[in-house]
Amino acid sequence: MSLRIFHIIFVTVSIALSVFVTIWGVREYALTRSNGALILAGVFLICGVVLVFYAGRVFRKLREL
Amino acid sequence: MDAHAEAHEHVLEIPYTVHPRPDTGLYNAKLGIWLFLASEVMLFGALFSSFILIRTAAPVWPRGWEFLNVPLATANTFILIASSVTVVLAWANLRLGNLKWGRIFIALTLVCALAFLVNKGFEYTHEFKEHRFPSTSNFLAIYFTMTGLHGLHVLGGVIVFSYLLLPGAKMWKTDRARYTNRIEVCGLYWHFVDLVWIFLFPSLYLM
Amino acid sequence: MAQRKQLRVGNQWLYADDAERLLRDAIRIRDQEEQRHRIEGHVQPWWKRYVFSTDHKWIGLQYGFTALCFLLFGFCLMILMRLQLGWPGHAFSLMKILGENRAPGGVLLPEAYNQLGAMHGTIMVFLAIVPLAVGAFGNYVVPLQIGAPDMAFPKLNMISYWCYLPGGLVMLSSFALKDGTANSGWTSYAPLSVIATKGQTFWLFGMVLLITSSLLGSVNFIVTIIQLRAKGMTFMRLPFFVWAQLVTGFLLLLAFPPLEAAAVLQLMDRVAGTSFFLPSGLVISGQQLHNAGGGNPLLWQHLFWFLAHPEVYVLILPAMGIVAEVIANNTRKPLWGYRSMVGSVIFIGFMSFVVWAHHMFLTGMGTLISAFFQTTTMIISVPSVIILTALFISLYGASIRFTTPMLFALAFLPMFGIGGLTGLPLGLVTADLHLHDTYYVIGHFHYVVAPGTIFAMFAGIYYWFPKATGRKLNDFWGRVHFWGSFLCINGVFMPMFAQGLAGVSRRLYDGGIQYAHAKAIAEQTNPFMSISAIGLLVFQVPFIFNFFANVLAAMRGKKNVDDNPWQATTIEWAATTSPPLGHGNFAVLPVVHRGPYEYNCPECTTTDFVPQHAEIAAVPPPGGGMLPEAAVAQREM
Repeated sequence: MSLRIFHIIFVTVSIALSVFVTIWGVREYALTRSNGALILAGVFLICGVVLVFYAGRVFRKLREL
Repeated sequence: MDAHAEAHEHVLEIPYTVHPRPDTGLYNAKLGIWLFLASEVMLFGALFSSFILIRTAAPVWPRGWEFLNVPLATANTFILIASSVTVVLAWANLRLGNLKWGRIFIALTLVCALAFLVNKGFEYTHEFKEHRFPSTSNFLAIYFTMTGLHGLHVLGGVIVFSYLLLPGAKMWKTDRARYTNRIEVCGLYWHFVDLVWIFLFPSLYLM
Repeated sequence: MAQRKQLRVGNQWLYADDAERLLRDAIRIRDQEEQRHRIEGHVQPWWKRYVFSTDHKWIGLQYGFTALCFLLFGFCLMILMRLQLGWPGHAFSLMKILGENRAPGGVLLPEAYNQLGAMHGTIMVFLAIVPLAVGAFGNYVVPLQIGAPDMAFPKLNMISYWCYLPGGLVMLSSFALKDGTANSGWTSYAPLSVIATKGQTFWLFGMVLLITSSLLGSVNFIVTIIQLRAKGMTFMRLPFFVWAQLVTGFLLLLAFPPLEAAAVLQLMDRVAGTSFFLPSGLVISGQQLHNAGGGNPLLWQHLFWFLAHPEVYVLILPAMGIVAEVIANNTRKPLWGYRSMVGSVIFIGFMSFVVWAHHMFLTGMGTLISAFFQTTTMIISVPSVIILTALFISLYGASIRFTTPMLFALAFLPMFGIGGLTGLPLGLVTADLHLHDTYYVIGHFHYVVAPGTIFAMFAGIYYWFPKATGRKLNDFWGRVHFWGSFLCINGVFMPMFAQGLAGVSRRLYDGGIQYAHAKAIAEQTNPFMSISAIGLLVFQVPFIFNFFANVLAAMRGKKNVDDNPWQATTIEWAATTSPPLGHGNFAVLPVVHRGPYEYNCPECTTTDFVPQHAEIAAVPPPGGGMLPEAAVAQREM
């Protein structure tokens, strides 16, 4: 298995992490009204969106390499 | 001449150090690093299992979220994700024959790794100032042991990337393909180290 | 086939096209010899050639010599223990070497007995047998048998040895500590090991180094076997020894890291004051321990046995591999059931990861878990029996050459059989309730490891000694060594089964004479076992002299055998010289045409074997340097 496949897997797992933390943060906010959790959720939401965007653009290029 | 026949021309050289063996499709170092990563999975797997066992048996379990430095850890998460991108870019540039940009991206990866370690240092000193030590509770014991071991792996990456950035880059002149392979192998290791952190972060800092 | 021209070379008739090929090879050998000479003779300083060598053959010899030293050392620890067990409380002047604080007036103290026991186990398993079986034989033989110029990562190979030796020395150095070395048994069960004296920390540090060493080694072995097989050396043409080493490599690779994790956790418990293995409210010598608590002592046992059960197969598989090689060679027959043996060895590899908790039936895991591990344990005994049966059937109808290596290999079969079969009652929960932690267990695993594995190691030493030196070990003294060891080793271990059935616990400092149920049998058998152990030591003396006399003669360049003294088919004998060429091993990388054990096959016409790399069966293959030289001489005349 080459670096490019591992990278794709890693980015996928990172997106999954972003989704998880976003959901976790919103739930934590709903339970405890902690602003920190909401901020964390927001930050990871942005991270997730960036990663999805990155994946869409770069994966095709990597395949050609 | 195909790779197999070429290999048999040189009795004194170890075959398949650069080009893949036709029937396995791998060069030696790539197989080696995957085997090594398999053993690393077992190492961290054993630690995670111990974590689960001790946690499920504990009557109360502190939440890292409430006292650990989550913003710093979040920053570290992004740093490691970014470094996985830079290491892939380094390899891609070397593959396209571009040493200059390859080295710039190796240097960026190195900067990310060092930034991670510096952050970790701040995190540890913060904990120590608050009188939280490995012996304080089983949660902190697991926190320090697992992040410490992960930190040692990052440190290993720092050493290897520094070597490949400075003295190791001489190989580019003599054997381009092999140098590129080395970056790929290190990239695989580095992705594994990042992946461990992706699992460590939620299980230690959030849950 | 068309009529081929023949010509006379030396005192042999050869086909002309073969002679042509031999001549080409000979010229190539000469060129490579020059190149080797340049690489090894001038560029490399002595410390790079002999200390930090990257040549797999030299590293194999380094491993072998170091491991044999540790083997002898571990054996001597056992002799001291046996003196105490045979004659408890008796003063021995020999015991005074342990020092006044361990054996005042020559009477061994219980604390010191525990240290000897812990270090005997650790040294024998981790410093002697695994390095000998894997580090020495694996390193020396595997690349030669698969037709590789070296291991895949020669520098890692060197680093692997230089992690092993310091690891061993760290462990040994703890003997110099004031409170002595580790004393919690080779299993280092928590919480005893966590609160033990400082020697345990050395044990853990040493263990981390040893694990690193075997990790690097196993990666190297697997990559070498998968990537560096010569052309035509398919997996089903690999000698069985290589298969055993491949599976062993995977066991080392995947089983050792959990112990590394466990060692790190125990180190944290001891050094950083954590409580991974310490339960809450632990009371030591009447004092409550001030720790966070909440840890789990059973966690250590799970992590330890997750390594240590595959470790048992790490000890036995290379031994089976060596025995298979020696038996095929000395029965002059193909191994019976090679494919089922390979299948069994792979199956053992998988199953060995799901049997570990059969060491823990008495910990109260629950009947369901016990039933599961009892079932897997019964299943894993099947492939071992298949291998043993295949080796027994291989003997059937053979006209056996009773060479010294063959004697050891033949002895392995019933000895391993006893060891394996006595293990079955231990795998059954109800029987284990009685037998657990008694001398029966000691008898069982020593039969597997001592007259089993160590005898196979001796078979390997006698078998491959000519490969490494160009000399055969003396046959008469080899036989003295064999028969003496065989009798004495059974004298040591056979009575242990009786002791264990009588319920004598394995860790008793006085062999059980303080207990009513154990007194009679201990007094009847222990002196006899101790005398046998001393006899065993005495019968190693011929081996040591035999070994060093021949090593010294070989160093003076005296050879007494030709390149293939056992008329073997595998290419480590058939395709290169004995001792092998330096850097690169082969004059021409061999191309393999057939399976590993073509003895007395239909293709055999002039000899009773066909080497794996021989192209035409009718012509004897180039025996490394011998024939080509003759060919060159013929051409120049």
